[in-house]
Amino acid sequence: MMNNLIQSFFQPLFVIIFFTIALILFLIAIWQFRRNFKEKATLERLVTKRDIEAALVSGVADGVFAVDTQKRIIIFNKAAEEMSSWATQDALGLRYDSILKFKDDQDCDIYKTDDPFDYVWKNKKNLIRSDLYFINQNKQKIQVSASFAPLNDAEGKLIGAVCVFRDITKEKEVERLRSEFVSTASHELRTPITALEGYISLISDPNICQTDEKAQEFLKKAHHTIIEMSHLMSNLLSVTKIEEGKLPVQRKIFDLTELTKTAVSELEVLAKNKGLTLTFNPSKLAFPGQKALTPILNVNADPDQIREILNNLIGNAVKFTKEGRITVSLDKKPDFAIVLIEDTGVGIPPEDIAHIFEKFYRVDTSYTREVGGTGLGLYIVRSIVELFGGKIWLESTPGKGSKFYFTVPLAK
Amino acid sequence: MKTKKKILLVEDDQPLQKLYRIALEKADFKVIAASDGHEGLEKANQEKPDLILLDLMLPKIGGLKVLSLLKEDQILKEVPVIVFSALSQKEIILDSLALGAKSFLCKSDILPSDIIKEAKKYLK
Repeated sequence: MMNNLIQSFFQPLFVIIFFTIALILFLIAIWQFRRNFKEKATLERLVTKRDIEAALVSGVADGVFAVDTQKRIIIFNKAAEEMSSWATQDALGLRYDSILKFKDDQDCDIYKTDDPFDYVWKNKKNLIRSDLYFINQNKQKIQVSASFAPLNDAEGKLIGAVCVFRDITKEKEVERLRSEFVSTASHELRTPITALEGYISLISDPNICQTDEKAQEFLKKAHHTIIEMSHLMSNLLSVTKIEEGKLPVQRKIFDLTELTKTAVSELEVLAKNKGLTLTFNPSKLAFPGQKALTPILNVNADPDQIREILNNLIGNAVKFTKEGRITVSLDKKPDFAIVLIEDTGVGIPPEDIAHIFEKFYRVDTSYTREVGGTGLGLYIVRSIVELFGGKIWLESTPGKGSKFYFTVPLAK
Repeated sequence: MKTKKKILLVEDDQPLQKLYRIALEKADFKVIAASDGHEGLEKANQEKPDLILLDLMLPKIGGLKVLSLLKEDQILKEVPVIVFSALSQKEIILDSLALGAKSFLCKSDILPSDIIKEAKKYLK
């Protein structure tokens, strides 16, 4: 009886305890299992991320290498292997400048004089250079465009630097061939043009050759054509130089009034031959009540190039004016000088004004066909004006004349 | 009779060489022509000209090299040299003048008569 009582008392308790323990164990098991699962997943993720990063670095077509703060290589990718012909396992741990001796286009060893890694560490910013090359293990010259950047860890502590470089040997070669072609073409084409021009001038010389009137007329036409051709040649050359950014420019401070005066006086003959008057009018600059002395107008540009612009614009004015006058005047604004070339010529139709400074654009009328031209002059003029930070524009009325304005920055 | 002044013309382009020869002979000069830098130096030594007209783009020895060799020679360094070339970059002009050329003419800007005018300046 007593036993039964005890049994009946303990049984439910036992069951409860038993189940509680089982439940706790179960929960522990689940917790453990979840923890394991999570750890495994993180681990997997970590591995995958690392693999992807490694795959990325090695798969990039550009050369990539990283160095520690002692400039010892810690990463060296496949493209870097190919360009340098060094195997990654050999490169790792070596100082980078024992493998890639970067030189600039002046053949200066930049790893000795101004090491790019020192630069990025000191200035805490990236550096991009497109003027570098190195000689690889196979004795090939590899020209590169390279970017350098400092590397920091999660706490922002400097741990090294990375360099990404691209082989631009082919691009450089194309650039070299192009400029070589232009200079050869200019020499090879100019020489025969000069010879033609010279022979025609000999035939036209009555002391050397006997020619009749008809022949003289044809020779004059031939001569005119050759002059046009040689203009086209030199214009094409200028355009090539401008577009390559290789126009030789020597900025200095000079007096625009003096330069304009000289340019006008030298072109006076050209105008006179056509029965036109060419005058220079600097008086706009004179202060009220003062005598119109020729004032000094100091600007900052290349005088040879500004001269080129003046010759071109005044030359055009003479070319497109049948009768009347051409006036060149100057004006001064706070930051720049304005040059105005005004003519009483054929003018430019409104629909052509917007395009007149475009390359090879020509106003097509019977008159322009008669006087000829290359369609490059005004394009060159605009390019030069803009090179010095100036502007060019025009106003024109067909049949009445044109006004060309351009600005040159004043010397500060 | 006054002896004709002797001009050495160093120019590789044959039509141009002939052109300048005709023009110069017409102006009463004696012309000796050479077609490359090497021949130019050789003829300068043999003929001792009164003036040298020198192109820059020359086969064998370039014009600037010829000019500097002429200026190193004890006798020939006194002979005036006029450089004429299709190359008209500032640096080349300055280099030629620095090496001792009397003047620089850009081929595409000149007629034979300009060369004669320039030559006469140094042959009085």
